[in-house]
Amino acid sequence: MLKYAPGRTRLFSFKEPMMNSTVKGGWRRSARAGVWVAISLVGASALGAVALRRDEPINAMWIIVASVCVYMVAYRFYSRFIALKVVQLDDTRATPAERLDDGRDFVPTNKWILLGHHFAAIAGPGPLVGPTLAAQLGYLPGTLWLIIGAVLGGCVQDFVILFASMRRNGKSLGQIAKDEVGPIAGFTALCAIISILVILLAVIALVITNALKASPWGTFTLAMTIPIALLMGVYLRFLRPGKVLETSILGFVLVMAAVVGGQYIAQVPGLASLFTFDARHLAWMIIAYGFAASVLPVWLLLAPRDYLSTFIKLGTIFLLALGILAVRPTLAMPALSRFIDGTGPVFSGKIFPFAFITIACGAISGFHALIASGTTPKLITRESQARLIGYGSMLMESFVGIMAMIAACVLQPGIYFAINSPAGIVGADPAVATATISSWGYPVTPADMQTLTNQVGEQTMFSRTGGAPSLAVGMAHIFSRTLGGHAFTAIWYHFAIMFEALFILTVLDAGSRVGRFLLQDLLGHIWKPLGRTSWYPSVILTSLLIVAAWGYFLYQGVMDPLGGINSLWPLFGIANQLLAVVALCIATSILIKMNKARYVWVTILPMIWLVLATQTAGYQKVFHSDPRIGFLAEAGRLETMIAEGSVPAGQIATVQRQIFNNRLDAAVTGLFAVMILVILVDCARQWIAILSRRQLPVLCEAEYQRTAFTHD
Amino acid sequence: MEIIRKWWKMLGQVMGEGEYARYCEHLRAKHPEKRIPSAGEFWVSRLNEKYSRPNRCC
Repeated sequence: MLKYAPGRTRLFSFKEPMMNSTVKGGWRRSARAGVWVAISLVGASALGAVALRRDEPINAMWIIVASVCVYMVAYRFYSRFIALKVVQLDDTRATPAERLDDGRDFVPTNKWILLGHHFAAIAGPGPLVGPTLAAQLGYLPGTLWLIIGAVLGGCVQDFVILFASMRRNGKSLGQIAKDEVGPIAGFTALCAIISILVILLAVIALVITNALKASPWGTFTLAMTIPIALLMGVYLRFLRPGKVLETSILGFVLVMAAVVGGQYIAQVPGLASLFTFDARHLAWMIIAYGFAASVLPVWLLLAPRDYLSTFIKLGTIFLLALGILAVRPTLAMPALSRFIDGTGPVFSGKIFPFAFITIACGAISGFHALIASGTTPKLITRESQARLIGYGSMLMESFVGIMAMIAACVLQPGIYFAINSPAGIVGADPAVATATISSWGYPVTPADMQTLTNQVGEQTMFSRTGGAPSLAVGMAHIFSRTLGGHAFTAIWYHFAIMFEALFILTVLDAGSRVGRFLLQDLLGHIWKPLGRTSWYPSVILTSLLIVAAWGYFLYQGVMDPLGGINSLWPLFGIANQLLAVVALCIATSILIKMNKARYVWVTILPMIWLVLATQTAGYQKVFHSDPRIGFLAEAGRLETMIAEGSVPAGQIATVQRQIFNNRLDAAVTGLFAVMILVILVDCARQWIAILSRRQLPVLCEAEYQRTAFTHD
Repeated sequence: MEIIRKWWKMLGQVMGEGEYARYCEHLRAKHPEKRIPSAGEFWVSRLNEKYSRPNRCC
C-alpha cells in the first residue's frame, strides 16, 4: 500500500497503486495484466455461451462464471476509473466519521464490517422476487440486465451518491437535492420517496399474503416469529443489552423450531384450521401488524425482528451460493421463452420496457440512494473505501439477483408457470390449468403438481403468484440436493418461505415507521405540531395514513382476479426507477458542478436508459390498448361488460371498484411520469445554465480538512 | 479456532455489537464531564434513532 507522502495533494491507498518502474515491478505488472486479460476472456466466453447457446439446456455455472468475471473486471477497471478520474476520491481528506466522531452516529469503522453492514441494509426481498418474476421471459433477458444494469447503472448510482453524501457530512438524498439543485427538486425527491415507500410496502405485503394463504405451516412459522421477536426484545432490553449476536442465535434456534414444528401443526386438522386463512384475512392481519409495529416501541418488536432477519438473511444468501456451487444445477427454463411477445401470465408486456421495470433491485434500485445517503457515509474511515462499499456491495446484491434467477430457472417451466400464473388466466381447476400451460409448450400434468404439493407439504401449489413460493421451491430443490434429500424438501421449502416472509415483514414495519417520520416531516411544514415525532395524536394519525395508503393498494391487489402482481409490481418497478432517476440526476448535477462535465456520461447514460424504460412502461401501463397491460383499457373493458349486462347483478359493485382501482393505478403511474419529467427539467435547466456559464457552479460540500490518520 | 473467533467478532460487529462499549470509551476520552448512560438507556435511544430513517431497503 502507498505510504503516507506529505506534500502530495491526492493520495490513494488502493491495492494497485501506480507501480514503480523497476524491472521487478514491470514484470509483476505484466503478470497482473495477464491475469486480468485471462479473467476478461473467461468472462467474455462464459457470457457468450449464456447468450448464444440454444441447442441444449445450459448449466447454471456458466451464468455464475460469466457474472463473477464481469463483476471483477468492472470493479477493477470501471469503479477505479470513477474513483480516480470522475469523483476523485481523496484520502488526504478527513471523512465525516473522523471529523465529527461522536462515538455514535459518526464513527470510523473497519471497511469490511461496513461493507457487511451496508450490504445487509440494501439487500432485501427485491432482488429475490424481481428476477423470479422476470424468469417468465427465459433466463437470458433478466440475467443480462442484472449484470449490465448493475455494473453500469446500479453500482455507479450507489457509489456516486455515497460519495456525494460523504462529502456533505452524511446528508440525506432529499437534502442534497434541495442544496445542489433547488427546492423543486428537493420537494419532488421527498414526494418520490414517500410514494415509492407506499407502493413498495403494498407489493411486498402482497407477496407474503400470496405465499401464506391457505398455508397453515407457513402462517404458523411466521406468526411464531412475533412472540420470538418480543422475547428477543425483552432479552436485549433488560437482560443482556446490546448482545445482538447471542440474542439472534437464540432467536434463530427458536425460529428453526417453529419451522420444524409447523409440520405437525399442518398435520393436525384442529390446529391447522387455526392457522389457515384466505388472502383477505391475511391482508387485514398484515395491515394491523404494520400499524402496531409503527407505533410500538422500537426495541420491543421492530429491532429484534430486524436482527433476526439480518442474521438469517446473511446466512441463507451464503448457503444458497454454496448450494448452487455444490449442485451446479442445469437450467430447465429456455434462454428466451415464448412470452417475450408480451403475452406472459406472470406479468404482461414485452421485454422492453417490462424486463427493466420488473427487475429493479439487483440491477439498479433507486431506494439504495436513501441507504447510501443515510448511515453508511457517516461510518467511512477513508474516502477511497467508498469504492468498495458503494460499488462493491451493489455487485453483491446483483449476484443475489443472479442466484434468484437460477433458483427460478432450475424448475421445469411447466411447474414454474403453474405456480406463478394467476387463476384468472389459466383457470382454477388443476386439469384446466395444466392443459392451458401445456398448450403453451411447457408440459405439466396434475400429477406432477400433486407430487410437488406433497413434497413441499402444502395444500396446493397452483396460482401461488408473487414469486416467493416458486423461489422457495427452487431453493428447496437446490438445498435438498445438497443436504437431506427429498425427505427434507418440505422443511427447506418452509425455511425458504420463512426467510422471505421474515425480512419482508421487517421491511414492512421499518418502512411503515420511516414513512410515518417522512410524512410527519412533510406535514410539519403545514402545521408545526404534526411534525413532533413524540406527540401521540400525530404519531397515530400519520401512522394510520401511511398504513392506510399501502393497505389500500394491498387490498386492491388481493381482490384483483388477475392476482394483483400484474398491476402492482410494474408500479413498484416504475417507482423504484423513478427514485434512481432522481439520484442519477442529482449525481449528474454534482459532477457538472465539480467541473467534470466531460465524464458526465457515467451517470447520464444510465439515467437516459431509465427515463426511456420508465416513460415507455408508464405510457403503456396507462394507454396500451391491451386490457392486460393498459389500466385504462381494462377499466374500459369492465365498463363495457357492465353496460352490456354481462356482469351478474351481485358482482356489479365489485366490478365498479375494479374500474375505480384501474383508474387510480393509471393516475398513480401518470403522477410518477410527471415527477420524472419535473426533476429532469429542473436539473437540465441548471446543467445548461452552468455549462453556458450563465450560472456559477456552487458546490455545497463540507470544507476540506486534512486527515490526521496515518496510513495503515 | 482463532479464525472462527475473529469471524464471529466481525459478524457481531456487522450486526451492531459493541456500539455501547465504543460510545462509553468515546465519552470517557472526549467528554469526561458527561454522564455515561446505562447499557439499557443507550440501547433504547440508539434504536429509536436508527429506525427513524430509511435503513432497510427492498
